[in-house]
Amino acid sequence: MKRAHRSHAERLRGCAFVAFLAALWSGVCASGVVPEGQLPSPYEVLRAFIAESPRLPAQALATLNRTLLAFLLGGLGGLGLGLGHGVFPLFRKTTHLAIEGLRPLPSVALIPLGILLYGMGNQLNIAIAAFACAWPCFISARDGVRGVNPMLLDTARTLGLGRAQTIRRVLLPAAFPAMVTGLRIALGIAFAVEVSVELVIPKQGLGALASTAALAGESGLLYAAILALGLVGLLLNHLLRRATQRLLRSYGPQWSGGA
Amino acid sequence: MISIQSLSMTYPKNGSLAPVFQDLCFDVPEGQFLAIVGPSGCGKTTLLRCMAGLTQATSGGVLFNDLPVNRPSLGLSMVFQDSVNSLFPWKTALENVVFAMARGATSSREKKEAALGYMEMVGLARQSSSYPWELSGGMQQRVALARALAGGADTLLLDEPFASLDAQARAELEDLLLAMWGGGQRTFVIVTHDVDEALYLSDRVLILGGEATTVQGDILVDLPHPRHQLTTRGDPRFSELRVAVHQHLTHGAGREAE
Repeated sequence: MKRAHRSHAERLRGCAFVAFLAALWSGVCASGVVPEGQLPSPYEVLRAFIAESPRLPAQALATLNRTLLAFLLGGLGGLGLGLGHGVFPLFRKTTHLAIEGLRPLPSVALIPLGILLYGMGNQLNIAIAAFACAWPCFISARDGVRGVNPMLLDTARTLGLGRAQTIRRVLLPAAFPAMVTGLRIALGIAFAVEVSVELVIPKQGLGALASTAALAGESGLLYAAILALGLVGLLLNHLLRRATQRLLRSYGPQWSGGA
Repeated sequence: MISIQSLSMTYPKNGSLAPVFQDLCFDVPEGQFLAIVGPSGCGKTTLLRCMAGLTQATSGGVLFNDLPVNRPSLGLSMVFQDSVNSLFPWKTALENVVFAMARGATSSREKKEAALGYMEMVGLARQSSSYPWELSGGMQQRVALARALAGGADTLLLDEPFASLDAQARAELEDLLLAMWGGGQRTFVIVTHDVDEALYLSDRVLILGGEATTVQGDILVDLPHPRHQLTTRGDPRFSELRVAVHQHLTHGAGREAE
């Protein structure tokens, strides 16, 4: 009860601070310190957002769909690769060089190659965002397995668990919180890379909308697109946090609490 | 019965092999409560791990009921010093105990009931649905004890199980351990660096020490049962035994200094 109270007060304080920032922003705009047309006031942004709102949902959905698909593919691929690395030494030794060669490649540098391979369609965006977001999952799964307390593995052995049982019933659950941390990072990366690709190849999505608006000088549409991007990012983060908090509840407050 | 037969362990150090312990020979008869004491770093834990089948010795062997111990067996269970790291944090206390039970043999309801019995035995029936991280150090170690027995083992190897507990919890756990031992219904081997704890709990104290660890002394603890925290520790015989153990310990340390 007390805890719920505190979080309520915290939320109130957070909202008050946002209101304060908005007021400050309006003040700066009204004061004329910034030259006309360089900084829109919060009122202008909001008005543009409402005016352009009919055009936003379709684009937001396109961005959201591709982000989630890339996250799913890249996340699962990265986790699988990382688990393979952590669990099977032979697999690690075989693939280590190839992976360490690929991993530092900036994902946006793959856009030209992607255009060549996939053309300028959904596939391109998904492939590049998936590539980018696979790596944090790879690392967290690999290190999660490596970091499992050796005493848990000794315990599994003394309890007579075989190798397959130990992997399934001890190693995977023990590495699970680390894997979730990797997924949280990966979702942010998938979203950022997806939007970057949209900015470079403005065909579909909120990033494409922002890019074309900027080129056409439609500042209202640009503000609306940016605000919508912020909201989509917030939504994604919120959904994943809610989903994982429940899954991690049994692991204790250091995993299930906090942001 | 556990039989340690000229067990030696070496580890590579600066290109050559340094001995951990050398030519250890002793038997632990069924129903005995054996305490192994020795300075830290003398290889007590390694010895216990060899007995549990978790580590292979360099030479010599361990027999458990006349069979060589090459890997962990279900009759022998080990309780580790750091219970918080040996309990599965994503499982409740009861689930940790159920985890130790053979799969498939009985229904999950029966297992759960049996596990509850073990939880009651260690005085934790009310904390069954708590997670390990919600329990105190002493309670965690109780869960570890319940789990060790739930696996069906009648021989427990305990590696400094109470080292990180406060004095009060420690005394309670010592008495619980004596109750679980039941005057010889089970075989317990405890490794500790605390001579008083070794004497209070055991039938027999084995003192390890020396530069390359060997058995320095083997003392029969003829203190009467049931043991009591105040009267047993106040017994003049307790003091005599403590002196004897310390003499063996310092003898080993003296040889090390030469």
